[in-house]
Parts: sequence; C-alpha cells; structure tokens
Amino acid sequence: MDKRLFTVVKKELKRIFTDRRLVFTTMLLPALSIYIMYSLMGNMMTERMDDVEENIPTIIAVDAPESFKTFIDSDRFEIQYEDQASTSYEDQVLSGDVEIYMIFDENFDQLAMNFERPNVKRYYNGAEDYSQEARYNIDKELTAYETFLLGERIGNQDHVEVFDMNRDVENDKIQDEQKATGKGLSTLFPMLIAIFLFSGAMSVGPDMIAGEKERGTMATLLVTPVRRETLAMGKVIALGIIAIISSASSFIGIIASMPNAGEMFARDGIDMASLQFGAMDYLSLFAIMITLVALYVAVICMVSIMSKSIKEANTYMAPIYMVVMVAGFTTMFSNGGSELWKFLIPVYGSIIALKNLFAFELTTNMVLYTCGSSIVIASILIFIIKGLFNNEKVMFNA
Amino acid sequence: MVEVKNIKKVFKLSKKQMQKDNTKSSIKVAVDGISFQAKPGEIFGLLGPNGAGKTTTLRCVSTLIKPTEGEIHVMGLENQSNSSDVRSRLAFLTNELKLDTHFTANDTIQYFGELHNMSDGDIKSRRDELFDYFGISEFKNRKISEFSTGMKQKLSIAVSLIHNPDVVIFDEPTNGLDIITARAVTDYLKKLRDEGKVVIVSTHIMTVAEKLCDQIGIIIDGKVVVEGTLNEILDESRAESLEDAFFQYYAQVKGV
Repeated sequence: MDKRLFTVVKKELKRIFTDRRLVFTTMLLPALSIYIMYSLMGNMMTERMDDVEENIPTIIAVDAPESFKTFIDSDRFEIQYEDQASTSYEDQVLSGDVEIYMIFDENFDQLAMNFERPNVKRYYNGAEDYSQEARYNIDKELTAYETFLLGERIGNQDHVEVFDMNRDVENDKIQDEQKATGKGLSTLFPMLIAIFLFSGAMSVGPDMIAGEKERGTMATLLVTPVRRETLAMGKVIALGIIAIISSASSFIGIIASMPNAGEMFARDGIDMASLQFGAMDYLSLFAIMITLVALYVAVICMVSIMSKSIKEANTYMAPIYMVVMVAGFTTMFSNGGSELWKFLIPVYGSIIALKNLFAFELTTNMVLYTCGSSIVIASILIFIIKGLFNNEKVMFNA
Repeated sequence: MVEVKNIKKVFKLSKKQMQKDNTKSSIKVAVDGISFQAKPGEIFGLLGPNGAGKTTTLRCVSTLIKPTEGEIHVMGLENQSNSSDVRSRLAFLTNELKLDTHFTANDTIQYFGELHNMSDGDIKSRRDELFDYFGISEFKNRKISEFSTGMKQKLSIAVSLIHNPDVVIFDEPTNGLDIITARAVTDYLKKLRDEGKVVIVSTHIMTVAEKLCDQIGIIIDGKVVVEGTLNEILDESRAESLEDAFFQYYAQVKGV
C-alpha cells in the first residue's frame, strides 16, 4: 500500500481538526443539539403530562341526578350543577374555560330504575389536552357510576361484580423485558443513526472535494506524482472517519440525554436498565454502521467530485438526504418484515437491520445481506470515483 | 529534455458549450499538431493570445490531460505510460494553482514533500533553501490566509519546486502579479535555467517572452506558426519587434 495514502488522510483530518468551526459543527454540535433537544423534550413532556394529570377539571352538569351527585368524587372533579342546558356552556368548552359539558336526561334516576335506559350527553374539546384528559377520567367515572346504578337496581352492590380480573397476579406481562425495551428503541434509534451518519458526512464531504476544485487546490494535488486512485481513497477514508466521529458524537448526545429524556421512553414501558447487548450485537452494530458509512461516503464523494463548487454539491446532496430521511421514516412506522431481499436495498436494508438489532431479532443472514449489499454498492461507487479522478473533463471541466 | 511530437488535443463539447461558443461543431480542436523541443539550460516560451492552446499544451506535457494524438517525452520518459514518474521529475505552476489557506506555509510544504516521497530531512533542507530565497522563512508558521497575493504566489512556487524537479513548466508566470513579485518570479526562472533545468513558460505578454525566453514558439489557433530564438524570429519575419512579428503571423493565419 502506498504510504502517501496516510499522508492524504492525515492532511484531510488535520484540515478538519484544526478548524474550530468544523470541529464544532461536525463533532460537538450534533451531541450538544441532541442533548439539548431531547432533554428539553423530555422535561417539557413530563411537565406537560404532570400538569394535565394534576389538573382538576371543571365540569358543567345539567340535570344531574342525586345519585350522580352522591357518587361522584368531588375532590377529583369541580362540578358546576345547572338546571338548564345552554349553548353558552358549549362556548365555554370551546374557549377552554370548562373541560366537560354533560347533560343528563330529566328524571334520570327514575328512568334508570325503571329500565328505560336514560341518556347522558357528554361534550369535550379535542383540541385541549386538559379536556381530553378530563374526558378519559369522566368516562371511567361514568362506567363506574353505571355499575353503581346496576347495583342499586338489583339491591346489592356486591352482586354486580361477576368476576375479578388478575386476582393474585403480580405481573400480567409475559415478555422478555430486554426485547420489549429494544422494541421501543427500535422505533426511533435506527432512523436517527441513519440520518446522523449521513448528515455528519454531508457536513464536510462537499468541502473536502468540491471545495478543493472550487478553490483550485485540487489541481495542485494532481500535479504531484501520487496516483489519483490514492488521492481518491485518501479522501474517502478521511470522510468516513469524520462521519463515524460525527455519528459517535450524536450517539453520546442521545446517551447523555437519556436521564432527562427517559420519561418519554418510560411512558412507553421502556426501562433502559434492562437493555443488555452482547459482543455479537455490538459487532453487528459496528458492521452495519461502518458499511452504511462506506455507502454514504461513496455517494457523497461521487456527488462532490461531479460538482464544480460546494454550492452545487450541496444542491445535489439535498434530494439524496431526503431519500435517506424517507427510508428512515418508513422503517419507523413499519415492522420492516424479515424477507431477506429487503436487506439488500441500500440504506433501507441497513435501517431495518438496525431495527431488528435493537429488537434482538437480528440474524446472521440479515447482517450478511445488508453489509454485503452496502459493500458491493460502495465498492462500485468507489471504483467509479477512482475513474472520475482520472477524468479530465470532471477534474478540470475540460 | 522535453520533446513534444505532433500533439493534437480535441475536446468534445456539450450542448451548453456549443451554445456558449456559438458553434454547431460538437468538437473543439484546442491543439493541432504542435511539436517543439525544450532543452536543459534554456527557457522555452510559448507565446500566443488567449485561447491559442498554450495552457492545453502545457497540461498535456504535465500529464494532467492526455493528448488525443502525438507523443511527449519528458527526460526520456514517455509521459502517458510513465505519468507518475514524469510528475515526480516535473513541476507545473500556474497562477490558478492555489493552496489551502487554512494551513501554515510549513504544513503545506511538508505535505507536498511527503506526497513526493521525500524524507523529513530532505524536506527540511529544501524548504529552508526555498523559503530563504523567496523571503518566506519568517512567515513559515503563519496561516496562508494571512499572506499577501505576492507571498502566496511565492509560496506556490516553493511548494511546486519542493522536489527539485528537472523540468519546470510555468503557465503565465507573471499574470496578475505586482511588478516586484513578477520580477522575483522571472529571476527565479533564470536561476533555474542557469542550474541546467528545462524551463517552459507560456505567456501572452511580448516583453516577458523577449526578456525571459531563449527559444520562442508563437502559437496561434492550436498551431506553432514559428519557432526559434528572438533574433531568428525577427530575421525571418523582418519585423522590428516581437510584437510586430507576432501580428504579422497572426494576420497570415487569420487572413486579416
């Protein structure tokens, strides 16, 4: 191997690491922004949910029967009893001043006891969190109230209950906690990894090649005796290293924000402590990520070489970034399936492989298919890139 | 010695380029059968107007692009089949060559020295020699972004010559330079000639060719129309100056 390959890689890395602006945007900013974003999201979501849950809803009840007034827990609901229905009460729900508006049929108790099935109209505001939460709680309360009336009908509250649910059962979930946690993570993480890997490489790729062409420094390099293949590979490897560092930074941001963001996951039943990956899982994660990086870097390098300026490269890069994002989002809301051919699809295959990895459902074949596919496509692109470095029309706009 | 034998360079034009050049032809003959010899210890000048094919010829000699036809030998090596070896014995400089302004002069010359497979010791001694000559030594640890245009040009020359090449090719050596830097550059080219190097320059400035070149080839529309020393060209054309001679040949070729 030509030792000048390392000279090129070393120079490219020095270019990045000695530029405070680039160090900040490619290595620190991803971690920082994710940490701040997730922490804020976690804290704000927790605060909002707590606030909604702690809120004592205001309810307007028209023609409420005595039995309801006795039954309802007045500590949990602030109920304003009225005799006459009015559209102004609906307006109050609409404006958010009142959470629930209920209208009972006249002589509700009497009708209920005579088996004549009276009606309760219950209105809420779907655009208001407080009203939504109040609807959930009042509906539960009305179900309990119905059971209570049933007991009244038959004269014995104890006879209403026909069976118990899960008596003497401490834990009704029969599941692998690790797998359940992984399932939760597999919704979000693969998509984030795929996007961060691409954006990390994208932030420096155009500058590394198209920038050199634009500044005129590429021509200076091409008159040295270094083979153009070596120059091309040096840039590809350097960009790969930067992309990995950038994505590692994003990862650190995710991990650091976990305590604060944990509330978001905890509500989905995810217990981060139960996650335990083995050596093979880490190896597979590394293999999938490194081959995905190779693919991204090859695409970015090729686009950069074919562009005359950084601006042009970024213009071409935007739709490719969109494709990566779409691939990420489609796997987010689907189970991805396990047909092996899907793992051959570039980018998409890698993301569903990551999804299966987090869900502890990844097989060796899946890893081989997705990594093999990425390697083959990246190799073809790198072969083309080497050719482009020798193409005078591309390199000199000749 | 650099021998250029009947080289031709044809570019394919895109539709956009055809529109820009206002032509219906999908090809452009940039160089059309050029031959010349440049010997050690002399400065060979390619003189011609913009678009005559000077830069394309020099790029072919430097292995940056391949001629469509013809042969080029650099110090006995056929330049397409030995492009890497040729580049290690040759320096190609142009005012378009730029250096990454983020690095210091030292970093830059070290990088290019390593690309030329030089040892650290050789890089250091050659760097000191070049930096002293061009007056860069005291600025060697400064970033290139802090350099003046003239200093950048001098550093570009130093970087290009780090490997002490046998052949130095300079495309438009004084173009865009202030008078002091231009003088420093031409003086250095003369020094290289006196050291026995093969020096090839291209220029469209008559006075540069008159003062600097031992051999001159006037190139118009991709063809060398006359070649010789300044006196030989003046004798042949019976002109009083190189400029007059040039316009005579130009009128003959263009039919004006």
